[in-house]
Amino acid sequence: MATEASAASQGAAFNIAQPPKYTLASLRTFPSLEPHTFVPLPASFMDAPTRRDFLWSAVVYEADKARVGSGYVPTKGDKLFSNKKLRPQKGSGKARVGDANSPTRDNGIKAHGIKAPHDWSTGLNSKVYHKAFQAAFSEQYKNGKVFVIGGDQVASEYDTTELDFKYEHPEATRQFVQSHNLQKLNLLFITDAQRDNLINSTEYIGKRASVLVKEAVEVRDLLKANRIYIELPALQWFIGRYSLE
Amino acid sequence: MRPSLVSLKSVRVPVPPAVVKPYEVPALSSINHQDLPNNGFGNNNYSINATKYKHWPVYLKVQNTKYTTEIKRIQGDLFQFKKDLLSLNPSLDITINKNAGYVNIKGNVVEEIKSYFDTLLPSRI
Repeated sequence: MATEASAASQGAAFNIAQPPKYTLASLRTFPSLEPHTFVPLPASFMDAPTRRDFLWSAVVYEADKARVGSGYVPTKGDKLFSNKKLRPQKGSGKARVGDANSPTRDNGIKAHGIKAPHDWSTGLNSKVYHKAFQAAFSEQYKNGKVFVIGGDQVASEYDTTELDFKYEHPEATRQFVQSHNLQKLNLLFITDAQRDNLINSTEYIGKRASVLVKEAVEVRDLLKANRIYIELPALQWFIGRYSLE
Repeated sequence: MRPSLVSLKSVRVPVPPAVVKPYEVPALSSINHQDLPNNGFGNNNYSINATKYKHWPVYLKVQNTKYTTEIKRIQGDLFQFKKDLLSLNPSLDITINKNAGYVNIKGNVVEEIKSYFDTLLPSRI
């Protein structure tokens, strides 16, 4: 204690500074993606360090949770064959046998097998899962792959502040992909509510576009996407939902 | 009759799911440039946040006979923090985990580190 007091009196101190609180994201209209203004978002959510350990834990957790658990191995109790004794107990000159349901025979029956349904889901601390969401959003945002759609002004009559097309025709998606040079990229659209035109129109590019309502989004979806288009209310919901420290 | 889990099960009222409170976007004019990234944070400086209950994040890690003091929740320049700790007590054996923002010190020096924080850090942020 004496040494510590003397050190303090020598003026040694900690170099404390305040980390950034906010980061500014461009607020865009859809489908032109023209930026109109900035929106301050918490740096803890959009500028968090990339923690690959959290991401890994979350992805494993989600993949475990997604398993159906339908594996089924036939065992003796399933009685695939008749209960009839295969040959008499004595007199054949061969070994004693019972019925054909024995797991010692070459018949596909196992002594101990997994039975459906079973639950493969594992646990994960919610703080870790929240950190994984923060890391996933931050990683994509820092690479310039997150486009926030919203605001209250539009550039032209073809634009909206919602993440939706005016028409459900595939041409809307084709023009969007072509004008923004998104060929061969995985697109993720995160909406606040169901957007039918967007869902129907993006069927044109099949698996390369996924349209998800905010509640359905997992960390895996964020990491798989090459471009994320998200409505501002949905992003606000994510920040409120996944901001445990 | 004393209430038991079995009897309570029949009268359990379903709890409504918690409503998510969305993040409220502050006005753009209220944001100071020093609150934004590239404000110099991380260049020879760092921050240490207290926990939710205003305790310093300094913990004793016991692994059989190996005692380690772990400091968590450090953001910014951990090398500078190590230098600052060594200037207070040059005998500390310090390793840092830059990725997670942890600093590990050999031995049980929890009270010593906490007293440094109490006397030298501005407040429990």
